[in-house]
Amino acid sequence: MPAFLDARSVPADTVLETDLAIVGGGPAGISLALALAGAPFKVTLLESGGLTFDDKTQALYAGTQTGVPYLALNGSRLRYFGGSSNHWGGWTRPLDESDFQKRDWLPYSGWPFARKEIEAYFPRAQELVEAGPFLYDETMVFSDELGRTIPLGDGGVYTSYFQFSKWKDNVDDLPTHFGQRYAEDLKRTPNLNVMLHANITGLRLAPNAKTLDHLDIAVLGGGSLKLKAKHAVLACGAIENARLLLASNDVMKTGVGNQNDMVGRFFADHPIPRDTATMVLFDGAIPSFYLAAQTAHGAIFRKTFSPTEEFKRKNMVLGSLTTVENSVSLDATGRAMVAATADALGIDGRNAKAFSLGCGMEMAPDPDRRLTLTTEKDALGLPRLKLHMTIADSDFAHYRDTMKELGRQLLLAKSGLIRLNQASRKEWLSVMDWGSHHLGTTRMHADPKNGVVDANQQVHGVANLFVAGSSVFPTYGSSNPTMNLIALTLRLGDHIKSLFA
Amino acid sequence: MSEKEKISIPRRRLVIGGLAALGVGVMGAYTLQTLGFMYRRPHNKQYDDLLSLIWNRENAERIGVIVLDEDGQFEPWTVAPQLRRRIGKRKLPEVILEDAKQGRLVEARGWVIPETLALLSALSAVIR
Repeated sequence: MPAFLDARSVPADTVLETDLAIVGGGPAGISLALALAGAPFKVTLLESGGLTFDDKTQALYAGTQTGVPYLALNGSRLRYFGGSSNHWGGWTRPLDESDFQKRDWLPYSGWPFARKEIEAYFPRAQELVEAGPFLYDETMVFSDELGRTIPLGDGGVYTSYFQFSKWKDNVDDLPTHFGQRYAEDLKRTPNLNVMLHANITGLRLAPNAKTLDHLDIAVLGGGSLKLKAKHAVLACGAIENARLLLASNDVMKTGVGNQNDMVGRFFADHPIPRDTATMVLFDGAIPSFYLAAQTAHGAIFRKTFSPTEEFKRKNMVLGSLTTVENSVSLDATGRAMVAATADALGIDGRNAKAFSLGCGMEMAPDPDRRLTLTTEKDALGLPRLKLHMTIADSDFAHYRDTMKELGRQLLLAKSGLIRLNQASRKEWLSVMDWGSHHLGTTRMHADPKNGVVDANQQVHGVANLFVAGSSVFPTYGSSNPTMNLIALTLRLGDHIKSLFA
Repeated sequence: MSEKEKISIPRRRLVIGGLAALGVGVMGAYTLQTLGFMYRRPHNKQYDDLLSLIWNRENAERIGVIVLDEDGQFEPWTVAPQLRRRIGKRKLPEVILEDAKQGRLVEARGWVIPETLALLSALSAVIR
């Protein structure tokens, strides 16, 4: 079985050739390589790092930030084989139908296609993330077997389900680390070469700027190569995809695909503020599937609360997934609220218990939340990035509306009540955390003025250059991106096969 | 120092002392108001029918003070007839559920509670 290639052992200035270059060995790049296994063309997968973490390679990610406090650019992703799947939490859930739709009240919303366009790829994506049978909200069919569901009155919030990745045969019950999990499969793929320690430092266009000619590859510590490819796919995350496009500005002075100043804009993540609300259950009984992931029917589940499609549409709110985090104590005011409300409803509230809620929220697209190049350069001479981070007050307000609806439905079911714990922007920011889900910087749109790639994920204006991963998401939903971006990448794989047919 | 100036010193002290006493008074009144005591008016039996719906006056008054703090427009003689019309001959739980169904909710220090409960609590806080 052939081992992976090491760019450090290739003589300097060598010019390599391939049919398809995949830049990035994370979940998107590896899934695409697996999807193209056995295809009648040669594929080369390029990974910046090696098989394990390395400080010097990781430092290539460093950048600066302005705006709302956010995670360090070199802190929330991993630059070695398997990419950020080496530290992901395994939370998995498909995007909702409305995530793809144009919402008149939400500027910049609307994918170039409906959810059904990628639904056929969900089963395989689900297999790759090893999250068991594709059930999610269908789990409600056997909900009683997953313990009691907290009663909610009719309304705009429903009990939804996460599933979790579980790395096959891993003794530590970790989520699937794509690099280690699929290394042997990749080695067995006859039309594939994987090259480690191969850092792309330039996307070199033909003089007419309409096709990619070759990729510049640099090795830390010295040495450079070229890879001529008939087609190339960038799959190195929403930060590096944008960086490579912006920094490759020798032919197109504003950067590849950036003729309309769109590359790097619309950066997004999922805000995951802590202790967003306190939920009181009058009977004090919290079913275990809410507090932690539990196994049933060959999958690992956790129950959450989500706004229904109808509630989102009618009330013009963004998506969210609310989790029950831990039990909390109430102060005297809280105890009075609970007792008085239970009394008023004519029920016994003496056993009531309170729980802190957390969530993953959808952000509204914002063109000013963006990545730009700085004058500082990394060890390979590539300009470092600056991220300007924003979050709108309306994003918090949307989520608050959803929590208020949850509170209404708890009252209606006589099962509990809710306290909204954060009101002002200052309070929200004080409890803010982030999902490390980098999204949106090479957004997909049929019109080049509104996007970087088209519906086939081809960079507008560059016939043989594509982008894979969540950087192409025009809007973000609240579901964790990994399984969704893999489904989208598998669809891209079919498109690439058709190009070679 | 003239005779006039000698006399003016104790007057100034009096003025300062008076202002200090006034300040303490204002602070005390503010504290009492914060605690809800300033909302109280003499007992008036005309609200007994509504107050009798409350199981625990202590809890209700604690909530009522917060509701009043967040809604300075509360007037018992305006709210009471509205509550009577809303409740009619029904039991309180039925009205509370109707509040939830119709989205008649009030936020009191973040707690999302039925409006009828909030108004009864506010009434409880202002009526002995």
